[in-house]
Amino acid sequence: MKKSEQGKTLIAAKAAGLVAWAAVMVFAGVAFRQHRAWKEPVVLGPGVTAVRSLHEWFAPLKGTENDCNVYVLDSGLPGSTILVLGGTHPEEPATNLAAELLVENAKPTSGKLLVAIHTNRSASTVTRPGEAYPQFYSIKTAWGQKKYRMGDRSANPLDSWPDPETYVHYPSGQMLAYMDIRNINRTWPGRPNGLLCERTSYGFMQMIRKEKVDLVIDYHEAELEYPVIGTIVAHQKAQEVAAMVSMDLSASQFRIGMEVSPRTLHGLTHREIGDFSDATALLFESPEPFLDRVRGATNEALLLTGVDEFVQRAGKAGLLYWPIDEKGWPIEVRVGRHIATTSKVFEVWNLLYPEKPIAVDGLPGYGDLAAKGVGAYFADPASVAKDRVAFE
Amino acid sequence: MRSIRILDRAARAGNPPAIAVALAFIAAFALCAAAGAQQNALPKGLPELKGPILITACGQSPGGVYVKVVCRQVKLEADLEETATVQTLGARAYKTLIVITGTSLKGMGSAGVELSDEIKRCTELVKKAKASGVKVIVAQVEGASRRVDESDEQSIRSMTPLADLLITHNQANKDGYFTKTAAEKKIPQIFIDQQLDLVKIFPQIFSK
Repeated sequence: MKKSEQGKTLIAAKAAGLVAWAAVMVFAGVAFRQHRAWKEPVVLGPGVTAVRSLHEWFAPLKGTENDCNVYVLDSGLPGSTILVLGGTHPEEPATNLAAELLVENAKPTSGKLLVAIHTNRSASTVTRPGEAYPQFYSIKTAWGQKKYRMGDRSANPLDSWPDPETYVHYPSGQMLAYMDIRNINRTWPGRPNGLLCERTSYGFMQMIRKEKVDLVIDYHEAELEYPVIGTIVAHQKAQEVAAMVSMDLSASQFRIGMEVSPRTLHGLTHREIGDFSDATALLFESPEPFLDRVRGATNEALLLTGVDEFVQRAGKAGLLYWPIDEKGWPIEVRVGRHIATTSKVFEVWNLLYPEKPIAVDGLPGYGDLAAKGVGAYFADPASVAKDRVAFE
Repeated sequence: MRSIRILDRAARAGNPPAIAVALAFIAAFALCAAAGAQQNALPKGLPELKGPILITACGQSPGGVYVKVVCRQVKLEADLEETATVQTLGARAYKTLIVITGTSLKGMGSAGVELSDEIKRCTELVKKAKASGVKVIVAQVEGASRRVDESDEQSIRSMTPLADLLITHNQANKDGYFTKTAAEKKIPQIFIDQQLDLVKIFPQIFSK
């Protein structure tokens, strides 16, 4: 072959490679864009009196990906103000689903609820393709499938970049792994001039102070290989509430433990909100086998059913901190645990602080939720007036 | 009773929903405790127990918080001190020491202590208590979830044989360790199925 022909062949091969690369990039780019741009409709329930944005408490967040919706459910009567955080870690879907269930169903009759469905919204716009995470998951309802973005633990690097070599938590000075600066449950109480999650935590702290929030509830899920699971983690100011809730629920509905927030572990809701405001804080953990490292196929079915033979085998080998059987840990049970624990916290709160009550109607019981499924409590966005639908 | 005090507070706050919730909760609390306590037979040879009570955990587990809440519920004077020492024991006329077994690595990290420190602290505390006529209850109240690793095991095995009375969650005794130790050391033992059982048990074993 002549030199000129060889050159042409090489150019053709390179061009073909470039076209193939571009095709893959376009395909992936479209998929990433669809995921990032997907809007989850939320029907405003009978208790919702306003939908506000986080920037209303900290203006610099306006226009950022983390300028999330804050749903206000105000009874109009005196009482406690309680903030519920869903989606702190968007790879834990029972958290945003439980928060959404509150928005669509709760109706306070005394006191006020504030609810964030996607506390770290940026983290809900990115997932982990390298770990085979699905991009979306759907919840079955009577009117069809409701589709959600599957997220990650940390904010999207598109919104918060670059990470520092070492993340030094403010104000404690505790050194943490670099990517934890994008994990909003390591950036409390935040700072106004920090990176995105630090500014988001700061915005929430401003809201907590200005709205005189009494209690913050932060929903989470955990792998069964992790010892802090099936439990309530309580700031010292809330440990009596947590102990009473744990004892009552464990005796009457399901086993749930209690841990006291370590004083020297910084950046977490249950530590810093209690230390840096008048509010106190509780964090709930439900079991999510999808997060276990020993899991098998990583797909939507595992995310929603929590059934995995490999995790079960790990359990039989005594390698887990939480039980699992062939029934797994379905999403309705995990959401049900969060909602039932929230309801019980309200009861106990009223016992201990009757001068500042919180009373909420409309929440399903644990048994009902587990039997009917989460979708039974989500209304059809097409069936209500447009001004009663918000988007996440 | 604390429940009555809570109800009083609800009434004083003039809040009917709070009163209703208080009544419902107290009833549920009592029913659960009563149902559970039917299983909790009291052994012979119980030590004479009185308050005030000092509660501490060998391993910084949160089990002491449960016991403290129960003590309030049944109106027993009790102090929970995470790092109680012999000086703490001498600071008040305590009549009973409750040592909670099982560990929390986060709790120990937070307190800046190692398990060996905790075992040393609690062993000295128990020794001092016995020398002072203070009765010692060693309690494992969190069940299987607080018997999962070597740290839990060391906490349990160092404290359990030193007790005047053992209170043990049934789920922690699957290998029979507590039963065997109680028999060998002739320590009376009460089993519980849930922490709420203590609401019924404490008034029976503590004299006012």
